[in-house]
Amino acid sequence: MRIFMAIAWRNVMRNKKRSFITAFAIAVGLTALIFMWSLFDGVYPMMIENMTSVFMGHIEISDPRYVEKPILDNAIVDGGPILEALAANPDVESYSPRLTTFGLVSFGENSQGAAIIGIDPELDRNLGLIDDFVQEGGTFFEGDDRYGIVIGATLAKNVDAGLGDEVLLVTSNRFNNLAYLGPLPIVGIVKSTVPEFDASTVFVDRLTLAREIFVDTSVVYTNPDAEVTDIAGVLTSVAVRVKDQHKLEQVRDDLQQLMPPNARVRTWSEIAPWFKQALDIDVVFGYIVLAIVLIIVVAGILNTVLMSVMERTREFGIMRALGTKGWQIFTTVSLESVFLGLLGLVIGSVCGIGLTLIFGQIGLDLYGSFDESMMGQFYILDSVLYPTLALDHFIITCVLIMVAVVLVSIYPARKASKMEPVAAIKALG
Amino acid sequence: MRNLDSALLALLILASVSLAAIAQEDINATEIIERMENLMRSDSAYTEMTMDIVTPDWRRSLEMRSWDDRAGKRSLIHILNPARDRDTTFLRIDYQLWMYLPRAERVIKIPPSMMLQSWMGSDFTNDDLVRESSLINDYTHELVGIEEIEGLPSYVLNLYPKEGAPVTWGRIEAAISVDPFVPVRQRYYNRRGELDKEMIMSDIRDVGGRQIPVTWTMRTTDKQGHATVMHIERIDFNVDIPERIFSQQYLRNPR
Repeated sequence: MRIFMAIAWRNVMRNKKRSFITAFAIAVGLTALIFMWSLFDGVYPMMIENMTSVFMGHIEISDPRYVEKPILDNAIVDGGPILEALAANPDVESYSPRLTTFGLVSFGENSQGAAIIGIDPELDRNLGLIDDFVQEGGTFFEGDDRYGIVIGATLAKNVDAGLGDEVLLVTSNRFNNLAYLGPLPIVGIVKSTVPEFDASTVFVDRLTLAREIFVDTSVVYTNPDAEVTDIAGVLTSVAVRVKDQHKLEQVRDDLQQLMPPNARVRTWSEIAPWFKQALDIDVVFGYIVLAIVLIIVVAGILNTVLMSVMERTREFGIMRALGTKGWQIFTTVSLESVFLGLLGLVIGSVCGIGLTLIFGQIGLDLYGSFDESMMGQFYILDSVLYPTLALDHFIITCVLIMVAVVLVSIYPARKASKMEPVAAIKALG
Repeated sequence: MRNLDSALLALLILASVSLAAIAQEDINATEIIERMENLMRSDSAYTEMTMDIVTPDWRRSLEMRSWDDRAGKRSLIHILNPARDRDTTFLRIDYQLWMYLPRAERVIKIPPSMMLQSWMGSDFTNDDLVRESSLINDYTHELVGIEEIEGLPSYVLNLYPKEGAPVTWGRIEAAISVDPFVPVRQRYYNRRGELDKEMIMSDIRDVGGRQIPVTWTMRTTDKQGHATVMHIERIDFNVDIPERIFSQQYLRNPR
């Protein structure tokens, strides 16, 4: 066996140019596959992250009735135990209770409808979803800013208000009575990746909002149970980030056990099933692209290996004439392919990993030529893509290429082993 | 026994004759509506009233006063109580509505998007305050008959909106008591023919020199157990309203 390996290796080394072209074809194919797969691996988590990061979180807890009909009557008013359960759960990275209502943002002569979202500044900052998008000069409720508001950039522009301007928030309370907050100074302006969000959202301190819309001194309760006693437990949803995305379902089930009966725990794919479906379709499409690339790569390798065998018809004829057996030639040719494959694998891996790591650092700017208004349509995609190398996907790629190389070498190897010595020698020279 | 029977019969005949006589006398539906509108409305009025908002779980009570210049399409409502809402004031000029928010010391103009929202938690909307529709001019009137409504023999009329009239209802069923001549009930049906709101007017008193029902109870069909009860404490018909009442200055300082 060793002798065939030696012969095969000598054959590979004998025609350096031909061997290099073959190995290069394999290397280029491998590089392309590694890079493309890494690109997909980088894009999907980014899409999920962008989708979940702007507001949703990985997990959301809310009353199903609120999801159906977002009115204050369907808010959770005894959310204390929910927040305690989240604080105690080791798999939860961060969480943020929110109290959302709808109203009017009024500044000067201008007013505009908006979602008014009460948040707990510290908790929401830990979550980092909105905090990350606060524009220069502003803050997300730091220190004494707690009683100001943070406003979406487009909304601020629409009411013609800037940092420091005092705006009024007008809404209805739980008793449908007129409720309003302010005038409150704008302490921060938010510009996220979601245009709709920037045009329709203001943030205030949750307790301040809860006090205004869940407490009404003019109300006389005829049903004492209807009175909200713990303002800190008033919320319409809680956004949760988990430490490990792979344990998402498990964390959801764990949390659901601890929830009061009116609270439901949902993962992002349950909150936005359309997004999950779109993503799944995208993944399938990604695999189709990978399969096509693989076929092209295999065809290239087949072509190169086949040509290198055909070129050597005379050589094999002489070997047969000297008494070499068919299976010995078959083994030699196969081994040649394996050597070439391994060579291509090493070069391709180095190139593929190198390329992935380089672009993983500097990023691949796909939408550099697009203007901002167009970007709005693709807010789930960043303009710069960062490929990430997944070890399992890398190994799968290498194995696939190696198997392909060995498989495509069978045909030319068989062809070489079956040659009639005389005919072969007489043939091409 | 026989005597009693004939006496009853005589009474019945008498009753039906007099009912027929009343029906004969006032057969014109439009005239009934005009007469009712003349009773209930005037070119201008000053009103003091309370509004009780009742739900299954809680109730609220508001006290307010208002100036209504119907001819000039202007009105001002000033909330006097409770403390939380004191001095909240609404100024309506034509189809525009401003409100003064005393705790914020700001005036805002209510945008179209907020017009269909509940007014101060009641069964009325902001839109109800500015909508200027006339039961006389915007509807065609049809007398259905005389029925006993809320314990009073009453004319029952169907009012259908005229083509292009600025009204939201598909039909209003109005019941007006024959004697005394006062409205007792109005039912508002939407365009699909479903009962949307019902207003019952009761408690006939002498206010402002007129005999009118002073308690008006509004119920919305899809809000079980909810009601808005208005009670007119005082009403002055055809008063001279000072021009300053309908100004932004007065809106900000309605004292």
